[in-house]
Amino acid sequence: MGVRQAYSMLVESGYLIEKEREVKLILAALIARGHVLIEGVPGVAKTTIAKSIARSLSLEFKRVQMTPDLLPMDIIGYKIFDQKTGEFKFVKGPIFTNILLADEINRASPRTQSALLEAMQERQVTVEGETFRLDEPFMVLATQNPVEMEGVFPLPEAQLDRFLIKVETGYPSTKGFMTMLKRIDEIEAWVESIKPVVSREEVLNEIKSVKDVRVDEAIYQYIAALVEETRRHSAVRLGASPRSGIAILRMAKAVAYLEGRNYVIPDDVKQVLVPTLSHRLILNPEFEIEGVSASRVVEEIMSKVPVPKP
Amino acid sequence: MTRLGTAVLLLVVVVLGVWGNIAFTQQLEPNRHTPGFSGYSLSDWQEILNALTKGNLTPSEAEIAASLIGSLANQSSQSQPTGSASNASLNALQEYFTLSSGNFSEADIMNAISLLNNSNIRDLLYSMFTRKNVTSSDIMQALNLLNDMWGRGEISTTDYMLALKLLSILAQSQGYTDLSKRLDYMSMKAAVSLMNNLTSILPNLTSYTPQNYPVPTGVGLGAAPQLILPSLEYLSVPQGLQTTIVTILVVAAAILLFLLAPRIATGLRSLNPLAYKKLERLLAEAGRWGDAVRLYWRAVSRVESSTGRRMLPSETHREYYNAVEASMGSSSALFKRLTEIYEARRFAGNSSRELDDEARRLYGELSGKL
Repeated sequence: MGVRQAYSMLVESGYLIEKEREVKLILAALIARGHVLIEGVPGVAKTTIAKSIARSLSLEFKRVQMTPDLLPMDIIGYKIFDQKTGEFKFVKGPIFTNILLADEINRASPRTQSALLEAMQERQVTVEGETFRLDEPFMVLATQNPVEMEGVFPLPEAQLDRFLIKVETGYPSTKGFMTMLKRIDEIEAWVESIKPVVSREEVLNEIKSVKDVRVDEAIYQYIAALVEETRRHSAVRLGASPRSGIAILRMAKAVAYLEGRNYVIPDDVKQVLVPTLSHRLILNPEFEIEGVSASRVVEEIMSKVPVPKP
Repeated sequence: MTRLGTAVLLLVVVVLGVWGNIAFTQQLEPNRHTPGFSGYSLSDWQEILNALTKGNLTPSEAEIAASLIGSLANQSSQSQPTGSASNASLNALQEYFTLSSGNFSEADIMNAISLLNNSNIRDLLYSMFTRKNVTSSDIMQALNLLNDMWGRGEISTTDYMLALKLLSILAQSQGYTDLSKRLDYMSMKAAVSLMNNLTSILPNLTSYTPQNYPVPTGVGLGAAPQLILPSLEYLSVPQGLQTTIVTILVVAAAILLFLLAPRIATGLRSLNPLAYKKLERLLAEAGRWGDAVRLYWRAVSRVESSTGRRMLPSETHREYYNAVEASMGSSSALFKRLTEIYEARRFAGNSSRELDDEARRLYGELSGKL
């Protein structure tokens, strides 16, 4: 019940106003052993969500503010000479944690981004020939501002593919915003007071359990049909890769698990489709100019591909 | 899916066709190869019997019958002792049909007379045929005598039949046409009786009487050809070959269907996408996931009718439930649970009977409310 319990606790608290979907997707990505790219303008509770999740899970949480002058060693760590022992010793960087919030990842230089993304993929870092394994579970929550264009280094497609999902989060509704305004002190106090409801070991066990979630043949066919449809869409220049299909499957299983089922249904696939595909599709420039977004294309594909029936 | 269905159909047709053909051929074997029947079909025999029964045996039928009985007599003489009743009857019948065919000589008449066992009748007829003038009263007298003796059981059916036929020929030759026809008709009745007796004497003909004429039974295409292509029967194609022809035609049609299946499916889909989808769904669901899935789709149809909101192809079961929930009122809870059961059965591989039972109950309640 571990991560499910944390999910229920975070959602039912009512403090993460209109962020239920984001919480679910991030937790699902965690038990699917993936990393999350959160895209949203500043001030839409990206850090709060990450912090709340880390606290509720009894996992170590670190935050790095990415800037253009940040070096890879500032994230990974570095070796210094210890005068007492006469040897070099490794000083671990902030990447040695369970949940790393890489704020504004697109502000870091490509070199730093690359080092971080490599560590995300390999789940280990190598410094001067020595390899250090990262702790499990390990998840990077990277945020980026989609509006800012100056002084940023947009992530290349190959590196975007390292993120299991991209969660787009936006402004709350007027009603939600008003509730937030009225309860802001409460919310801040609540985030600081969150007690872990799940141990690290429980999370690790649940990661294993997710793999046992049943997937019917029809669901595999549905996923394949969706992925293949992205390659046929007129607005898409580069469709989804097989890795994207795997991402959909893993996320769908994790969502099913979070919802208390040991089998995947078409709704699970639909829920994760935009987050898993929107950052992986490359659109034709003419469509981009017209304001067509990848999310819209994915939604259109969803409305075109029939769900498994009967 | 369509191609798979066609392939299965093709296989079934081939298996049934081959099996049916073999089964039917085997079934006909003891009847078809009755000694002496080579070159004739069983239907010829039946036609002769029918014609005799109705009293309108034509000369051509009589000729066929003479030939057929002749072959049978040859076969019978090899297997039966010389002078046996069956041989005598067959010889008499052959002579009878020879006389009936109209294509006979004086020697045939003499031969027929010589075949008569009763010497009184034989002598009487011999004298009548050798006399120059025979009146109708002479013929009537002879007929009365024959009837009396037949009634007393003093003459055999063979003699009675042949004697009547000879008298008929005599009456015809003297210009008494009506009398000739009457005598001929009576002789035919006697011939039917003799043929029926004959079939009971010859074991190989026993199953051949009109009462138990062989009818294909069991699974197979044995009876199908006449139903599918009556022209085959009309063209007198042997029944074993009919089955083969029909099997070949069906296989050819199935191969054609197999090749054209995708085009046909596309055509059908473009004609009525919704109906096609429904058909596809029905075909796919048939007996695969049990009652829970079947009843869910029935419930969907009912909900679609009652709410006027169709389930879209790209819509999930939950999405559809959410779309109709408000307009379903109190019955929405039943439909929600039915949807959950459907999911458990369809995607979780849960095949427990309890789910089917619950689905039946829910569907019953839902049907009552919608």
